[in-house]
Amino acid sequence: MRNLTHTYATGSGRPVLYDVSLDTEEGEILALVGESGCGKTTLGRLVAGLHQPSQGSIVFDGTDITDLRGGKRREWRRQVQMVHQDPYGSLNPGLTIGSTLAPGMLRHKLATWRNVQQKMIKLLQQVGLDATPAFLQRYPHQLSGGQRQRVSIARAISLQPRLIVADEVTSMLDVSMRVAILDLLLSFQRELGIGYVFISHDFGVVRYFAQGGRIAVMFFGHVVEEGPVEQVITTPKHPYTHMLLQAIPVPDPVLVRKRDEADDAPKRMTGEPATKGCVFANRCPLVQDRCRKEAPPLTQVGDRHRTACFYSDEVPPLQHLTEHAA
Amino acid sequence: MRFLSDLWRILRNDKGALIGGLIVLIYCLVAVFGPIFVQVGDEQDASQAYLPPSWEHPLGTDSLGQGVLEQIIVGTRPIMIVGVLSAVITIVVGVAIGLLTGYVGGIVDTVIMRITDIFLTIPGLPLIIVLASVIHTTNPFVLACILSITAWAGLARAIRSQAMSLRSSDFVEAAQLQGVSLGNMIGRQLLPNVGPYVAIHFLLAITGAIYASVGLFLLGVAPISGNNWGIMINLAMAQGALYTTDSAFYLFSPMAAIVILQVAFVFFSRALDSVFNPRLRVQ
Amino acid sequence: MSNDQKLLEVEDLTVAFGDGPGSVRAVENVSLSVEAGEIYALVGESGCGKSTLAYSMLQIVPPPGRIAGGAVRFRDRDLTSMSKRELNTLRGAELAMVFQGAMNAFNPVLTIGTQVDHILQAHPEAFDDPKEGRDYFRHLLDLVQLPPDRIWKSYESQLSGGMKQRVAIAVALLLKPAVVILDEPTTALDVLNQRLVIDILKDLHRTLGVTIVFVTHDLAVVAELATRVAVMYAGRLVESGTVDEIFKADRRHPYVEALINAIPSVLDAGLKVRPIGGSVPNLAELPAGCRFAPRCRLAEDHCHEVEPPLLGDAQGHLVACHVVNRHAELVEVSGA
Repeated sequence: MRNLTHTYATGSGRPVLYDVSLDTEEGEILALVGESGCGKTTLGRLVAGLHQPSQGSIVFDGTDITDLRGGKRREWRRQVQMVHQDPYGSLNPGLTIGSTLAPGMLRHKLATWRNVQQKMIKLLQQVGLDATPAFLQRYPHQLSGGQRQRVSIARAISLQPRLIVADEVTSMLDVSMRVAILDLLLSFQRELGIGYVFISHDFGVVRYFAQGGRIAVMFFGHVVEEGPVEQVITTPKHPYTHMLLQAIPVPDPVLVRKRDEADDAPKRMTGEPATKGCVFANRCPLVQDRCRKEAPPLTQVGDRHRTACFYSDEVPPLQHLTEHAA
Repeated sequence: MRFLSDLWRILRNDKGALIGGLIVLIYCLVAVFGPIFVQVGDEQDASQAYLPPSWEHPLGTDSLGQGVLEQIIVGTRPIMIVGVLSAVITIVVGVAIGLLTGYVGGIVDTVIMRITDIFLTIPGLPLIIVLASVIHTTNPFVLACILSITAWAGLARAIRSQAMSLRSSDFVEAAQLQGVSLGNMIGRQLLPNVGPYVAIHFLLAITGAIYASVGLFLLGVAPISGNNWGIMINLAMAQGALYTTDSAFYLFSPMAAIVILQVAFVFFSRALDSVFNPRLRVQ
Repeated sequence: MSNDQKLLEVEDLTVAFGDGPGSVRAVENVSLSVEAGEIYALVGESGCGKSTLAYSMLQIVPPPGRIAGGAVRFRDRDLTSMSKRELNTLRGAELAMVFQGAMNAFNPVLTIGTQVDHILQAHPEAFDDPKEGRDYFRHLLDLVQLPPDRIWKSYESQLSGGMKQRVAIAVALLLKPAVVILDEPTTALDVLNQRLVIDILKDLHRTLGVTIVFVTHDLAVVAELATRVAVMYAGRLVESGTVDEIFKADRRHPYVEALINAIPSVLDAGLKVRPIGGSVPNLAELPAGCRFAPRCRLAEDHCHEVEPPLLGDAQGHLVACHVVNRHAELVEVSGA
């Protein structure tokens, strides 16, 4: 039951996304990970229909959405929603919570003027907020970051979507609140069958949220590795994935010291993406001549696990992760 | 209702705005109720000209022996009506065009902005004077339109740039994702965010319109009928009030009335920013 | 700990916002000391007072905030009683700060080089001649892994967020301060930039010997970087000690434990992660007794009535919790 197939390329001028093809199933979680500038946010926004791809197509449930107009587009619109990163910017400061939640449902005929208040209260309850008419009268500046994010989520699920693009939804929240928001989103996956395109730069959050889902690691507009979350994180098959995982700060001072002793190699974490051959060549510790001449295609390395590297066998396992698990 | 109590709280904290607001309120009441209680008599008696203030005529008399204060009170209504009407037209047109072009962009924006630019470059006051003298009208609505003829253009530009920057904010995007209609987008999403700016501009537009309309009457370009402050100044000058000191009250009273009102508007506008900004209004 | 090793000392500090009955204490009776050569972390979530505490170390708490009690000492000199002039000579030259969002602190119409020149001109006593200052800045840029010539000529719009953060760090170190305070140095950065900043700070600490104080909510960064840690909750210091003491499970404050468990880490498959119920108390309406009690899994009746004192062991590991401090040989400490 294919839900989404993206075959994009390019933005204007320098390509933002370069020949990216990904797909996701109904109710599945696809995590997009990479450093800033890798194109994951652009990809998410293309899926949500906020931009048009310069080349390629986005196919939702068998229909190419780039050409949809009018009523059909409105119907599609309802099914794909987005939750933004910044809880402070994603709610209209001049509107009450009620005025923010109501228009979407009314427009898509999911509520009438008579019952919209009732439906909004039910939404508030679903996202764990004060399910009272008084809360609907409040303004965003009276709420905390976590509460605002919950309102954004309520707004997204109010249209009963099938897919939600979650763009760094926990990055600007306090650490103790992140898991609560993630659990909330997961509950909707379980109970309402909503799938997610989950954008994040935090592997820890991804590992928690996307259990059982898939991950795509991106580097400057290219997908360099793609596969089941657990597999990619525990046995990465692309040097970039390895570099990212190795770079994550580890919340255990004992492990930190062990890791620092074992791993002394200078890491080249800066370096321009290459224009010929493999895009990662300028930073790659495994780089060889071949990498500079040919661009490696995405090749199968395991069950639904693909990577774009000629030397994927040489990618070392992650010492400190395996040690900790042991 | 909550709006009023918030307004009251804000005014209590800002004495200047409170006094300004009270004065404006007084003028409004005078405009509405004044002519009911006060009339300018019909007798014109030159021997009663330029009398100093007395119980009968608290601000003295004009060249025809008629009370100055009475004329001021009666003259409030036409000035206020024209001023407010003109400001309303300016705001409605300016905001509508500004939000529409700023949000929609594209060819709609280009075309309408070219037209707006034309209106921006036409000198306002001379145009108003020409139009007023050509269109001899006493209809306050027509007069208000004439006064607003170029005023909306500057506002439209300013609102347009605000709309353009709002367009890229997350919550506008979220509204797009929700599929809201263009009307909702402009009216519900964008408009409250330009609220403070519009409110203040509204007051300033009233003051500008009042000056312009007084100017028209003063210059004799608009038909002289009935009684208002501009006419009073016009007549005062025409009838030689500049040449004696007895006529000081006659000459200066309408001017004082205008200036006091304008200053009151400006002071009151200080509270408006808070009132229309939910962050400052709702604690 | 002998007195001449304590570089920066906070003694029973209280910082309040507002006056009279409505006033709120963002920092309440906090004492800690930073020794020369340490990397000291101030940890907590938003609203706990850590940033306010950092600001008060430089006496730059923005009004309506004010120091309502206690003192801040740098090399035994009381900063709270210094004149503005004295403070200005200290700031930048001895005590430097990198603010949160320092990447936005650059003037967009001047090149980085010009802005650095301005700083050198304002502090002629720092170097024998401006050229020496410029050369030193170039050296610092090298240490933060940025190309010196290119950066000198760049405008801030030409640099990425991570690069700007590193330039800000270099600028803070320009006048060779004894202490650098960083407010959330890694928070807005992606994984690789975060790693870079962590490694650079460690490097700078080793090469230049500068004492580092940093404020963060990210315990992983604390584990990577800090030697000693102070954890704050709702304006109070709840635990302080070496980084190992904080992360070890014995005699650990329940908030610290809950915080560690609330963070999904790439280390485990997320099975042990648990959110902390409830929310941070409103500083204007604090509960009686321990401030964390309403959310604490160990809370007993006593905890809701009496605020727990900070008690320390022989190694100087301080915890403020009735339950956890029971059965231990402890000393009541008013400062450390």
